[in-house]
Amino acid sequence: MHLFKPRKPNIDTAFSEYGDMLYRVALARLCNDADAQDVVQDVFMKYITSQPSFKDCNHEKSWLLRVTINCCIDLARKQKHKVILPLEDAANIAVENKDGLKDLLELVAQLPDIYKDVVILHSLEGFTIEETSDILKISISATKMRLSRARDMLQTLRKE
Amino acid sequence: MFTDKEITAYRNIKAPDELRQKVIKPRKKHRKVIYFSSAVAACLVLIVSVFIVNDQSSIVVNGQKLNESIVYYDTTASTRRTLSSSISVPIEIKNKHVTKVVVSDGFISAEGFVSSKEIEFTSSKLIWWELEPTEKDNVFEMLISDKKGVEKVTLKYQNTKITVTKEKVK
Repeated sequence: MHLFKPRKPNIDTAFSEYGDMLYRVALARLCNDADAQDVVQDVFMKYITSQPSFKDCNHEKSWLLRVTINCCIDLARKQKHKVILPLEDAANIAVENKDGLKDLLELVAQLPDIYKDVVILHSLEGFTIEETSDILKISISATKMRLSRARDMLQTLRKE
Repeated sequence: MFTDKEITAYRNIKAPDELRQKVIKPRKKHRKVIYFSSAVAACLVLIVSVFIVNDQSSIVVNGQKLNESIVYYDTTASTRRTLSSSISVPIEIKNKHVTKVVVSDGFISAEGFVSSKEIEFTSSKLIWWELEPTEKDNVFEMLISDKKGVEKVTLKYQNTKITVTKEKVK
């Protein structure tokens, strides 16, 4: 029998631990600072209102990431007709070293959405294949397949 | 896929301070709203309960509030023994509405009213229930009605012992 002590949601701790990561994921997904902030705000509102019970830190982190990605998908769907200039407000982003960041985010922005998620989680955030597949609720082979295709696409985009 | 420089630049992205403010503040605002609405709800409950308590009628027999029953002896000074064997029971009815009192036996007397079997008044009133109990006839009834309903007050007289009970009439 697997015993665990449920982890109660605490917004202060959660924001300190995962706020930066969730903002990065939303920013890479949406390429817009204001939208990324809106998404992170929505995610924490859901975190407060739904009061989920977590097995451990990893469970909490996966939940927050999954909700962030879903919120990004919802927002992108709502803004289907909005023209997004990749990182038009890059100057506002709090980064110590901005070198290469704009190029990176522009590359990610050109990927299809299903490839963006695996690239952001695995290649940029450093999650393992298993963790990425668990967060995205897809199989390990699908994750590997998407990563491989995303790698090919990025190589092509870099050459262009 | 990405260079170390790019990954480092990406991982150095920090959530803006304004976002932290936005995320943390609504919760405090939310908490304030909860406290405020709880306080308002508590005040409302208090006001309503005070209103309900004030709105309820009460019957005081011989100086004692009649909840379900009262027992006392007519040797006390408050019960006026009149000529022959009649007794007079002081009953104060406290009410905010128009109240009608009807008795099955005896009659009611009150200041400013002609003695009769029924009396109608607004607000509180001290009335005297004049009775002539005998050995056979010693249980009497009084009906007190207002817009909220009817209550039946039953008075039983045995020697000098007076038992008064109250019940709601459906």
